[in-house]
Parts: sequence; structure tokens; C-alpha cells
Amino acid sequence: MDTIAELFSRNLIEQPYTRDELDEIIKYMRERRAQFISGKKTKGEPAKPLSLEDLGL
Amino acid sequence: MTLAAEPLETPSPFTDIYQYAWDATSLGWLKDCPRKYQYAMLEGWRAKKQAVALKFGLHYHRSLELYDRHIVAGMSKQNALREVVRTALVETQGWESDDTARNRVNLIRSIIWYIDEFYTDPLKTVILENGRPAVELSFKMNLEYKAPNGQPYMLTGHLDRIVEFGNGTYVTDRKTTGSTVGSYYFERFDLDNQMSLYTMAANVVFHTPVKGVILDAAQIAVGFTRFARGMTYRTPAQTNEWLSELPYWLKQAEHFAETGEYPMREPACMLCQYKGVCSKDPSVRQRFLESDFVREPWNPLKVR
Repeated sequence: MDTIAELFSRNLIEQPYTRDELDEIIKYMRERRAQFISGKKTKGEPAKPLSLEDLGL
Repeated sequence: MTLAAEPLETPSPFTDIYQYAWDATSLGWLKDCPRKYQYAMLEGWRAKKQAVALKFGLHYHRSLELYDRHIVAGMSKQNALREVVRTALVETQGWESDDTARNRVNLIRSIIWYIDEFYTDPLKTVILENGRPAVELSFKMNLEYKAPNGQPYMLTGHLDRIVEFGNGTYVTDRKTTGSTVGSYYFERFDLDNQMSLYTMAANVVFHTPVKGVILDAAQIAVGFTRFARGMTYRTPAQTNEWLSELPYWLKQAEHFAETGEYPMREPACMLCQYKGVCSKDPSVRQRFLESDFVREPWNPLKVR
């Protein structure tokens, strides 16, 4: 199976995703979420101040 | 001034010189500043970064609506998630975002994380009088007020869902942001034009009295998406007040259209995306618009 990066850069007209490949993408993102929840990915990412778009401007 | 072009399939929100179809976005621009309304609504200028945020938000919104629709149709959560991811990937193929947070990979991440975050959602979708679930509710509401050319005014919008939660009924809305989603973030919605319109629309158009809006906010960062749920309330008196003030703003818009003059409202400039344009000499503003902005017309009649 292609790597996650390859799956994201694939030409979907020539080669549509299979069910297993979509499940692989979902699994990858869930692993990243689990890492985030456990705190491994949050270190060093300070809260951002309000931006214009946040205010709908 | 040039009015922004619109795709053929969507009717124009203008009749003669008057805008007759109004949504929360265009009304908000008008209330903020006449010049902002001119640039954003009449001419369709968007800051390049804002254009990326709009595209991200559009796909995020559409994907989660599709998920809601699959669930309502009886699809399993896992199958619905897979189909939503497939559709989002197909629809965004070739999207090259220069934003490190709002890009294709983080869109897919945010969709999957949202669905997992609210997998066991306590919100229960309301069933409308016609027996249909209250999801994806586009509305067009004719008003008794008319433009000077006789065209009745219309309010438009789109509600994600109407739900029951606790002992109340609410509209739900999803937001994406780059900032931290805490109480400070949610406070702004207590005086928000869109939330007042949505509350009023649920009451009047869908005959479902609601207490306000439940907001599911997603903070889109480079390495994570964080979610928070907030609420904003409107009493019937507050909703009536919002509606009773509407003719004042429509009259203002008529006056601007008739004079062709859209003055700046300086107190609103500090956080405005057009500040860098309005602060320049009038003779060079057009050049700044063309270099720093892209044209993406906004049409309140377009079904999103």
C-alpha cells in the first residue's frame, strides 16, 4: 500500500481510493489524535492571538 | 464601481441598484462599515489569506453536513466517515494551500477528529412538522419591507441543524478559527448578527422556538485541531429587537446605493481587512486591492 503522503498526492481520476486505503488514512489521523490527546504533539505550540478572520473581518 | 459577476445559475441578490436578498454576512458588512460593504459585497474583494480560510471552512462545513445526511439516512458511523473522507479528498484534489494550518491534509484531519470528538453526541436532531429531520435547512424569508423599486426584501441563510439539548431547543453552527477556543472566543457571539438571524429563522421559518445557538468551534493549528462547544442565547424580546432594527439598516443601504457613496466608518478600522487599502491615498487604492486581494463574489442566494 502507498504511504500516507503518496495517498494524499495521488491522482484520483487515474487511481481512486480503495476502502482499505481510506481506512488507512482514517487510522493514521486517529493515531495523530491519540498522540495529541496524550500531549505529545502540543508542546511548544503556544495559543495564537485573535486574528481578523476570527472576528469575521 | 463595478458590481462583482455571479455564476449564471445563481440569481443576483440585486434588483436595479438595490440589494434585496440579505444574509448575515452581507448585513454584517453593512453594519460594520459602508466602505467595507462596498469592497466585500458590491465588489467582492477578499484578502488572499481570507480566501484560503473561506475555502477551508466551506469544505469542512460541507463534509460534516454530508456526514449528518448519511447518518440521518441510516448509514453506519464508520461507513459515513469513510464516504465523507473520500468525498472531501476528491473535491479538494489539486488544492495547493500556502497556509501551514488550513490545507488539505489538515482539512481531512479536522473532519475525522470532529466526528470522533462528537461520536457520542448528546444533541438530538429535532423532527420538523413535515416529519423530516431538521438538518441542512436553507431558508429564504420574505419581509414586509420593500426596496424603493417595489422589490420585497428577503433574508436568507442556512442552518446546520436544530437540536434538542437538556430542556431546550437550539440551532447548531460550526466554526473554524485560528485562535484558542475558550470563553473569550464564544463571548463575541452574544452580540452577533448571524446568531440573531439564525434564532429568528428557526422560530419564524421552521416554527421551532429555540433558545439560541450551540456553536461547535474548531481551532485549526499546524499540528492539531482542538474543539470546544459554546452557547449563545437569545430571548424572544432580543430577537424582536434585532428584527425591528432591520429596516433602519436597509434604509441605510438604499441611501448608499442611491448616492453611490460608501463612507468609511473609522472606529471600525482597527481590525478590518481593508485597513491597508482605506489608509492609502484614494488614487492608489484600486492598485492595492488588485495586488493584495482576490475577487470572490458573495451571493446570499447561493446555496452553500
